[in-house]
Amino acid sequence: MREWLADLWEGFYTVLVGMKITWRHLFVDKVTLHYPEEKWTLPPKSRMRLFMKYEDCIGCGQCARACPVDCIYIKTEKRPPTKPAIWAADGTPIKLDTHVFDIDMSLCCYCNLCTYPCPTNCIYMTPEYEFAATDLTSHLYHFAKPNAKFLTVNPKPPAPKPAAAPGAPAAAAGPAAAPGAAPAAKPAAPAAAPLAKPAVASAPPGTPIAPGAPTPVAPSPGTTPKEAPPAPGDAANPAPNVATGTPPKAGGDTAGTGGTPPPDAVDPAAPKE
Amino acid sequence: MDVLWGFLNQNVSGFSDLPGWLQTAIPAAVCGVLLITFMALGPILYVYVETKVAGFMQDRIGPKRVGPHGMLQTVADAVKLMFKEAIYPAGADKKLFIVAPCLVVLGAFMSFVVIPFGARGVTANLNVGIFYVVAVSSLSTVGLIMAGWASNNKYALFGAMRSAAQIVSYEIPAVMTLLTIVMIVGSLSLNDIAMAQAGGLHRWFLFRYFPIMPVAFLIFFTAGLAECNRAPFDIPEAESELVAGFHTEYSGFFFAMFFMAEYTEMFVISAVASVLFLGGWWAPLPALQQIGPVGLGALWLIAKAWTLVFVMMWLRWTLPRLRVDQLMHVAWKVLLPISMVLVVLVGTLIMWGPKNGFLWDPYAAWVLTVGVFLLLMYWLVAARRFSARRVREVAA
Repeated sequence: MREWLADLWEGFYTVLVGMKITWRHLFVDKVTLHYPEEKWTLPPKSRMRLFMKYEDCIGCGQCARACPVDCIYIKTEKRPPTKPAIWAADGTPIKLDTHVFDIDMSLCCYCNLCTYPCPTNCIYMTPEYEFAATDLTSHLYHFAKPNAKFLTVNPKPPAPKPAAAPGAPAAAAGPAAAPGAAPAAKPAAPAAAPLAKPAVASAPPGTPIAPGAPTPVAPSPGTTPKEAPPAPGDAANPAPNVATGTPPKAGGDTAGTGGTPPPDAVDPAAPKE
Repeated sequence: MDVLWGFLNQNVSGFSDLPGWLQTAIPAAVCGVLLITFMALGPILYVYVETKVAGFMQDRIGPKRVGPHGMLQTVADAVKLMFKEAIYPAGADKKLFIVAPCLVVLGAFMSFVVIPFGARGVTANLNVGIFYVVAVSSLSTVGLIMAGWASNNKYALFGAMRSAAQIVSYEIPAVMTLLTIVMIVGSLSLNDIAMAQAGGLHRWFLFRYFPIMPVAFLIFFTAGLAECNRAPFDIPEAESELVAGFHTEYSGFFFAMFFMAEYTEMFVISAVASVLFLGGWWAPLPALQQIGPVGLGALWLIAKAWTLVFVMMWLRWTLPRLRVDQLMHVAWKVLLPISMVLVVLVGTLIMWGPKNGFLWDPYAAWVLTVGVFLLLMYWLVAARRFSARRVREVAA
């Protein structure tokens, strides 16, 4: 009888305890995210849809070669010498006409491996993730633009600052890993060794990126005059540069691209990573 | 219905010249249409509230896309269910298959006839009101068994058998507790029972013979919960064991009828419990009764019934489902002995003790009501503070 009463009381009491908990949870703030109206702020360097800036592509095909799932299709043709010379935004001359540049996002595995080898940083991952479609073929994005406006003037030589001209060759001669790296970062280049160090130091805090901004990618470290295998090979250089978080297009004019310091500055930069 | 009949007799010329059966049938039809509208639209509200309560208790927000705050979600669901095809399983007994949901709905709806929404606001003031409610609400059990048998599905049959066992078991303690009230009032009519509770909150049967009748209320409410197959007593449709119990094979409008019956039955049980224990259409204070027009009593009853419906939902999202043996244990070894003791106690008190409750009933009633209210409010505030603290922790 005592046991029966104890059971009874325990049952009744535990029901009340449970009801108290659920009652309190009625008024607790809700965790639901009203998705289409409000969205998560994506973490920096989120890897979502790929984007390719056609005007900067030199058609080297390194991204397609790096792709583990072969979702990038490129068809190029040697640019006839009769056509006017064109350059990418970082001063790399474009020697190939890219007729087809398609990325099949339904195959893409979002590994970001294609963005590292790109010599001109024209391919990068955007924070855009809402591209669901009812048709699989609409995930095949065509990036080749027949009416693209290429730079017909090399942006490299007419430097805004006088020191740029001497700086560029010096840097080009200096680092063994990235021979032609300096031209990419023109304003940074005049900053000599002592100046380059603070530039590198100040760069990492800039990593958090607004979700709207393009994802950070290595800002043109290993730019070579031609597309050359050694450029992606110097993994030491792109790696620290990822941390700078500079948008790839700004590679030419931001001080954050201190990724190409003279040889003595490479050593302090390397342990930073 | 009497009110309506009197109104028609006085204001409509020629009404009294009609044949007698028509004089009865017309007010009855009007009342029926009113009640059926109320009952058919009720589940739309209850399902919406249920989804919202479920969401809020799980820190979600529930439906929000269809209409303002998702209010039209259940309307959309109802429309969808109506337009869906009713599928008859192979080997099913088609006649029984169709009749079963109708019977279930009928059992739920027929109880409404005797529920008094006011001193004269009752469709049929039967002198066997409670008896009628108990009898009619058992009708849905027949419907459930028919549904389970006609479905030609072992899960459905399992569910039907469980529901039969459950309802038969829980009917007994429920009726036992009804006996106590019938003994106090001396009448089976629901209207008389409501009238006996006039005069404020402390006159409600919930607080009569203070420690005794609250227990009776708890037993009746628990048994009622089991009778409308709600969690934690929802083993007839236990989705983790039987696919959906007796309505496994039902689809489209027939499924909607089962759904409607469940929610209507919730309201019926709550309304009957409010009439029996919570004073029916009487306001908690006599002064409040004077506010508003005469028909406002119905709102008091509906408010009380909805509060109990909310408690049912609250319990559903609090408690896990019972096992079959636990269910039977609760019914036969806990509720039934207690209710029998209550019957004996109340009978003894009526015979040789105070006729209308103990002297301390009013104090106990008010202290308990105010105490429970304050406790709930305190938990509300505590929940807000808890919530704020959690937000701060997340932000930090």
